[in-house]
Amino acid sequence: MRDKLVILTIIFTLLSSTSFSVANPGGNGDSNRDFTCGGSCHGDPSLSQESDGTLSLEVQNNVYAGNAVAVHITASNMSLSSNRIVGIFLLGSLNGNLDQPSDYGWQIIQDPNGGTNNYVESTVSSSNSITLTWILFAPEDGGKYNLFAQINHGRSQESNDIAYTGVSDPLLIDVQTPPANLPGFSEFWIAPEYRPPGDSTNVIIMTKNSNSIQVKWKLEGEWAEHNANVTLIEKDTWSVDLPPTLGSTIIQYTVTTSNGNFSIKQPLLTIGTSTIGFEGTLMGARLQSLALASIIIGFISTLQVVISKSNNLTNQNPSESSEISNDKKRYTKHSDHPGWLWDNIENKWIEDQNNSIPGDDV
Amino acid sequence: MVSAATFHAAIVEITIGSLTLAVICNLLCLQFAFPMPFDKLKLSENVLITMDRAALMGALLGSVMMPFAIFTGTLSVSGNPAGSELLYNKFLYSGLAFGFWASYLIGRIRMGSELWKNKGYNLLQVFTSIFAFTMTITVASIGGKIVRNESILDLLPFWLPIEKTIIINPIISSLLIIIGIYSMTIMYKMKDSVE
Repeated sequence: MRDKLVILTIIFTLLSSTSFSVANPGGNGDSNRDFTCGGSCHGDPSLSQESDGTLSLEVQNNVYAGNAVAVHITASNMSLSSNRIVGIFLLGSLNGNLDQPSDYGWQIIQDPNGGTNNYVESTVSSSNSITLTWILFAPEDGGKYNLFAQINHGRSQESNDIAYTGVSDPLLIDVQTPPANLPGFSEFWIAPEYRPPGDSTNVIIMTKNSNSIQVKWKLEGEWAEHNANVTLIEKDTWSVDLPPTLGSTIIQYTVTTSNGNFSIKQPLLTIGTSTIGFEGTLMGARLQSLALASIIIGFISTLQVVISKSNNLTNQNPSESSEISNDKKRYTKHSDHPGWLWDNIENKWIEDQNNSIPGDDV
Repeated sequence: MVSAATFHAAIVEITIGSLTLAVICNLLCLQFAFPMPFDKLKLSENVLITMDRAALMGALLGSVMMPFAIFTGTLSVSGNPAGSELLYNKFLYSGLAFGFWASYLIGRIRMGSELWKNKGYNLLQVFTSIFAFTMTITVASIGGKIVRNESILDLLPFWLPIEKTIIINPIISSLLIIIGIYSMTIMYKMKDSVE
């Protein structure tokens, strides 16, 4: 009975140690997600609670159809979990699905993490405020459009691992019909997210209605801006010389597109450094695996021999002592003949090597 | 057509099951040289002999199946079977596991069941099988990480590193293989001379 109780206790302890969390504490990663999909746990009222954070959206004054626009989302004053991760959505509506900006004609050029996703995850600093910027092409048709921000996060205290979610008020954007020949980025251009470490290949920028472009770059976190060399490859396709980067270095750059009539400073873009790809090969892995196996077998075999040797020595010792014992029986000392032993087998006197007669050395 | 992944799952289950049995029986074989202080927990000589044989058979079956598990695992990966740290570590820990289990088997077969009565050999065999089993479940844990992004070992506060690896140049690996084989040869010659 006692044994059964012990086993049941162990099983209960193991089961209890598994996670009952309804949230995803490590996040789900950046992706293009609908509110419903992203809110599969955060959005379900039975599994989530309202976030105590504040969300605000901001956009530049003049937004022209088909042109680049920066949308800034600021989230602040959230009670966060210990890892301080937040997930932020940029949405075109709160329908639940088909609510991504792309469903309303917006096209993401670059998300805050360098990709082209409407949902990104980021770590909030101790100031408990974070501002993320999406660069988008405005819809091709002018008119009034809404954008929303939604935030997902966990909470470390009194949370019971429940997911927290918050939604902003709508940001009404009046997308104006652009003046003729307004220079900007080409809608076919995708901003590069990363370059390999040390890669000095020029960045290609595609524009429309532009006779010239000016590119200024700076390292993230620095103020000093530098002019980049720009070469025209063909009409509206430009080769921009940005310096190579290593590690976690991120370059921020702004492009000013110009023609004779307009000069438009486009939103700030970023380009990071990709991680080095894993360079392991199948043959290398097999050889290394065999090498480890053979070294281990060699090492353990050595230990087996060492133990075997020590055993043999231990076994030899008793025989040596018995020989000594036999020697004691064979040779007899006599007080009348110091320095000599009587050999009981050979029946003769032999010199005692261990006992010299005092004075012999003299 | 049955895929390599299905064969891999079946073979891995046979391998892990056999090796788990082997390590449990080996632990019980400690009683050959280190009798239990509590009579209730003492196993009879016959039971211990059975444990020794079960351990030997388990280790033998597991070690024979291990190369098949590696082979089917390699086939079941789409893309480069050593194309990430986790996959590369699968090979490395498989090599370590195979090395330890092979060492255990070599020792047991060369010295026979009498080895358990010697304290030194007994401890060496038990520790070898524990290390071997640790490497084996690490390989299995990597499989769980790849397929489900979690493993039972996540419950433990620490474990062997599986998400970082060290890549050795194939030439150095070849050199290590030669050194390993050479050391084995010398050791067996020494063992013969000792005997």
